[in-house]
Amino acid sequence: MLSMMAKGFFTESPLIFYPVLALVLFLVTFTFITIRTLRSSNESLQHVAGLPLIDEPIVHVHEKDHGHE
Amino acid sequence: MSESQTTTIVYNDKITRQFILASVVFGVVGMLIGVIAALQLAFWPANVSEYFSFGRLRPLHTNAVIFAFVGNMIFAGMYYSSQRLLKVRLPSDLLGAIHFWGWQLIIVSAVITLPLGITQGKEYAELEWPIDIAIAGIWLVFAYNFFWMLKRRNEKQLYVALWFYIASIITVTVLHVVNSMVIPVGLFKSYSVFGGVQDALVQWWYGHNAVAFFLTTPVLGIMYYFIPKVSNRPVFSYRLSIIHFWALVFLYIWAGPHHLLNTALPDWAQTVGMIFSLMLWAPSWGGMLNGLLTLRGAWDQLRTDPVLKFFAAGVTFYGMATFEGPLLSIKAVSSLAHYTDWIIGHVHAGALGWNGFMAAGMFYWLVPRLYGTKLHNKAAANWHFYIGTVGILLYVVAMWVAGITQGLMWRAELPEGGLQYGNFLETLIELRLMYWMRLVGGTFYLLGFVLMAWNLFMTVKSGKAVDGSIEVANIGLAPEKNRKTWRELAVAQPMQVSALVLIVTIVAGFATSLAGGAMLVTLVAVLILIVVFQSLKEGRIGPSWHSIIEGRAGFFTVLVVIAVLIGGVAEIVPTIIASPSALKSTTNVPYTALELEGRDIYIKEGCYNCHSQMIRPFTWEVARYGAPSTPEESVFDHPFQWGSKRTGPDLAREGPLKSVAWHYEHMLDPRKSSPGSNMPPYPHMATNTIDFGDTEGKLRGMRRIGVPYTIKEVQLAESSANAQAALIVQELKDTANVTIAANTELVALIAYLKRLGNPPIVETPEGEEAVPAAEETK
Repeated sequence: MLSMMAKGFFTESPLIFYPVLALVLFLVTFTFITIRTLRSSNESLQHVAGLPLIDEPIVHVHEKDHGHE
Repeated sequence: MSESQTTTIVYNDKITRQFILASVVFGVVGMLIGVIAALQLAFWPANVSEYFSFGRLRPLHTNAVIFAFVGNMIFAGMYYSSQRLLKVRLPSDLLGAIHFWGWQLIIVSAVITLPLGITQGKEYAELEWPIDIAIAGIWLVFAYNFFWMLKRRNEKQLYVALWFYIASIITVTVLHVVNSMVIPVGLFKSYSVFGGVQDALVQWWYGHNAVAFFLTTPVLGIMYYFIPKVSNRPVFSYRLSIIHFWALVFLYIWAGPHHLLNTALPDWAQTVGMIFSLMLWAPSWGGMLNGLLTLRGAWDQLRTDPVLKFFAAGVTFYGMATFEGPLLSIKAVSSLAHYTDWIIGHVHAGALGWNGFMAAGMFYWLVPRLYGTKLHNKAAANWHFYIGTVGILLYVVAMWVAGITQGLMWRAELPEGGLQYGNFLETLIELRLMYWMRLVGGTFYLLGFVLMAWNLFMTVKSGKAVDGSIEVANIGLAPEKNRKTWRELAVAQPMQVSALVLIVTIVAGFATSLAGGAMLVTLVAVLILIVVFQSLKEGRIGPSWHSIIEGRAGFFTVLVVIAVLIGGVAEIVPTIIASPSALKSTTNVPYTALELEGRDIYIKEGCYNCHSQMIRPFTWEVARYGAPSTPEESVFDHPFQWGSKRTGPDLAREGPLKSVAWHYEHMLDPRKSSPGSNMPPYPHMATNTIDFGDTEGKLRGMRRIGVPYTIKEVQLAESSANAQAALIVQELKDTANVTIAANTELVALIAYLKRLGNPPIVETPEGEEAVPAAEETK
């Protein structure tokens, strides 16, 4: 049964291999990243997640000092 | 280095101010052109001249909105947020200035060339090759400055917004370079090196991913920066943002073929496009929910804060558009919606709701801060929100109704057989009210945008330009004790897993069907088990693998490139490999010199904006237009002309249906032959002339990209064009008593239209099989 299904599936066009490859690659990558991400430490994530919240002073353009420049 | 040593960094906010100004100005221009185009569809006399007819204005509208309005907006957001997230000033102000002024020059060149009919004829990639080269150059300047900034950063970890920026920069580079591969045949004329099916796949791989990586991922980066900033709380789930990012960049690149469902594209590619589009539902909604849930606890501010209003509505429209997109990618739904106004409604829900509202939210928040003042008029900003929302709803609902109505009318069949609405015009006239409603909706949206422009202008007038700054410890990015080298990263466990997957899948591809399938299934099962056990074993202590690669911008970028390229390579390479044999075995015949010139006029006038050349294999399409289109019929089309919208009927088999006299009359006054049509008249084509001296160069260019013209055919192009034109002129004289010069655009266009679905068969001596002209003359 399985061989018949596989035969019917793949013999229609050899190019059908590519969608299967795509799905395999995606599934593996997705599973890997999901599990890794869920298991990662809260501390490291909290630091990165807080990056946009850093407040900053402003400098009037005519007074500016170009720091690294 | 001691932590007490600090440096004050003043950000380059001038570039953000410049890009915001440009975005607002071009936003008004682009939307105004959109409103004019909407008026032209509802009221054809609004096609006031050759240069401002719908076919030429529509590409100008799409280019202005995508690349000028949204383009300038994303650059503003990227420069502002990247400097702050990396705690570093833009490395080169000069490169920033080149980027800004270069981009504006490109936009101006689009504004000049598109109304002149200088176009490649590929949707969202119409600009001709010299401008394409300029785009590539300016984009590289931007990329160089951005990656330089990454290298000089004072914050080790890359926040999620930056990943989206990296993915956008990399992918847009690849998309633009591949889709712009052309052979120039003049300063303002070129032909795509890809043809027919191959070109269709490349074009929509580009077209869809222009939406993905120009209109979506940079704006998602902006969402991940500005929503936490405005609501003063971190993103709802940073873990979800990691999954959102990788799933999105991996999946998006495969989804292009959903624009070509039920066409002559190979079925496997259509299926890949559909499945990956459906899978996109999950990460898109993951991102939307992450954005909206970041506002938890801040919902009360929505009542008073226009910025949050725009962001919340923008993200909601993103969710709506990314629900509708996968829905439309289902083959059965596409059979109804494709070529109709439903697609236009879908696109505008994203462009006006997601892009437009995210831009407005960002501008209202940024401009007062960039000028050290308060927003001039908060009430006006709230009014902008309400006017804009009503505008979008009117627009989208009108297009849904129009699209579904037209789709259903096209397929309506009589109980005894045959089409219920056999005359295409019946299905168009039915939409007239919806076209007016679209115009009202678009005008509302434009008025809201103009109100914002005024509000921002007054805000700028009341303030003074200020730049942000930050005190940073001089950490640089000095080598750390545990910093992993590139070599260590390259042989790390994730890379080993990836290599194993690739090797097994390649081996499976060469194995027998059953063995290959079994290997793939086993591989997936084993890998999932390994990953689960490894993750459980390692526990939660210590930096995760992902946090390590986040700190390595170069390595991170390489992984993004791999994720993005897999899809493109797997989809496009098979059709490129198959192309030479398709060209060799075809029985189709290349266009004659005059037909090729006529095709160039078809492209110049933007006829593809309203007419398709792709009959799908449905009974109602076959009954209306004839046999389904085959890949072979467009094998010599550089670029392909399958189209994406049918405001007018499909033209794939138009040739034998109408006489030269009918076409002549139809072009001068479409309503004479087609009462109720909204097609613009083209009287200028009867007087504008073509220099057939240039035709030889065009055939030579086509020959270089594989179209089998013989040397003789190339050399005789001019005389051949003149001879065929003379025959048409004579026929017009005989049948309609019309006198027209042989070298006019109209004669060439008629030659092309007469050829559609009507390829010549070369007469051969009795007893021998007919062979195409190109084969015979080899």
